[in-house]
Amino acid sequence: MTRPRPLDVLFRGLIWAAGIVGMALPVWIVGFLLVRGAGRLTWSFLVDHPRGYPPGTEGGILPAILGSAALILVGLVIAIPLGVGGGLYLAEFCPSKRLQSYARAAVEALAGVPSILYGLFGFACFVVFLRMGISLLAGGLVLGLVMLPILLITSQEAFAAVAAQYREATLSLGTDRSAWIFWVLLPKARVRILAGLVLAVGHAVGSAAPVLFTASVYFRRGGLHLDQPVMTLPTHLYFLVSEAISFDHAFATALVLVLGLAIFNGAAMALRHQMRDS
Amino acid sequence: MTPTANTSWIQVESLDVAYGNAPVLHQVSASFPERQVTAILGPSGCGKSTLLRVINRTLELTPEARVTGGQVHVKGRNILHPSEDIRSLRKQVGIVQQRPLAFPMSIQENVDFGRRHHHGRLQRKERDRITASLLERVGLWDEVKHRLDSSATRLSIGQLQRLCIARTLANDPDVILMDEPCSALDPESTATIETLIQELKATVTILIVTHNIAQARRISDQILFLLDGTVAEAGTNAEVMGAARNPRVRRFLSGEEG
Repeated sequence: MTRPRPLDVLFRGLIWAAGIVGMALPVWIVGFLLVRGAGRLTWSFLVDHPRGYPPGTEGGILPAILGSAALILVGLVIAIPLGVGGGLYLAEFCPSKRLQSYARAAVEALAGVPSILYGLFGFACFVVFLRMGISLLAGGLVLGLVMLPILLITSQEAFAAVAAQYREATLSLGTDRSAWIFWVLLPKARVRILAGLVLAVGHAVGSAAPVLFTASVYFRRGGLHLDQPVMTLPTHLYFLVSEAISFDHAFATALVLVLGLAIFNGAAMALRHQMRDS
Repeated sequence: MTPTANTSWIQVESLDVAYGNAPVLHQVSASFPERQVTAILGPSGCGKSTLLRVINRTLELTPEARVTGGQVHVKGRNILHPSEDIRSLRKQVGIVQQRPLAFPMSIQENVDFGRRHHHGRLQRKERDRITASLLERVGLWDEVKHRLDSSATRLSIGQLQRLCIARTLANDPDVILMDEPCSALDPESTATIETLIQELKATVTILIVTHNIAQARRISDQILFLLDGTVAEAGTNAEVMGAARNPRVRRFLSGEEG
């Protein structure tokens, strides 16, 4: 048996260490949240309004859950058609490779913009210039912009990953481009697009900065309206901690955010498996 | 193999094709008689698949590929003319690719895909009748008749190739171009496809690209042999297999070169 070289041993050790840290870190974070927040996580915490003085010291976080969900839904109404459509354009219709690479570079740069800048842009454009005010609509539009580049890039990659032979097989039957796109390309790419959607929603739902300037308020009673502000989970968490209102509620809120994302990811994974099987 | 234009379904005249600046076919002229099987042979990269893709104009789906000269007539019509109705041509001249691909839909929808696009939706009963007839024709009916609504992606590769042939036949083509249809198949599936080709030629003109000399010997009536993008040999099966004039073709046919 040959003795392993020291460099191999070192390299293997580093790989193992990276793997262990990579896996342990999320487990540690979730475990920490569970230890600190699980005690407060009751049914009434999920379905009740914030209570006490200042609001949030008692009661629950229902308006923040609903507000976050509503913002994501409004954002998706913007991001899905623009993101998937933009990805389709770049993959299928863009007339030149050069234009494609410029557009792609621009979208990638957009994906790297700090989310607070989206918030600032949303405040200037939607809240002030378009006079939407601090509202569900303004915040939803900003979250749509946050999700757009991620969805566009993943959609383009999803379309590009469908083998060119499928295109030729479809069009060789004398069908037109719409048959190719709607009956073959989109169904073939949908699993990857869904993966991009999960990534985009995960990124958007936890972003406090874009909605801080455009949609959210510390406390609000009443239903959801497009022209009214909303409470959201990340901004509620921010207020609870920054104003030292309740750290117990803050950890429980963070736990709800993480569990919500886990449930969403799990549902998306199940859907992806179902789509693959079909 | 130089039948007159009257008896030839497809006539290729001085065809030049290039990928970018690299010529692939040079001054290729050939004619393909009606309701016969013509095998197109030659080493890899000699332009066999390119020739097929010119004939149903799928070559232009490859951005850098272009026809730089010559004409191709199908039933006397120059199909390279800008006014040619490409969709109608592709319906008339179907192609079966080397790698059989299932569209992401059921077996029945796969078979019906092209036909529905050209002729619209049919009553369920009529559609079922046509599907059954096509699948019987390619010898797949007994294997899939109880799962027509299940995904076509679950078929074996041999079944999938027959499904692709049924999908092409659903367009009721006059010509079927086959690009190494058996290259990924086991001997049993290959035999099934070869039998099918023999049955199909009663109604359809078939051009088949193959690397398999024995297969060409078994199934073809005519042979076109390409070398380096030009026609090296053309004639009936017996003429080319028995008395090829080109020494390189003879070496290739005898297995000395391949």
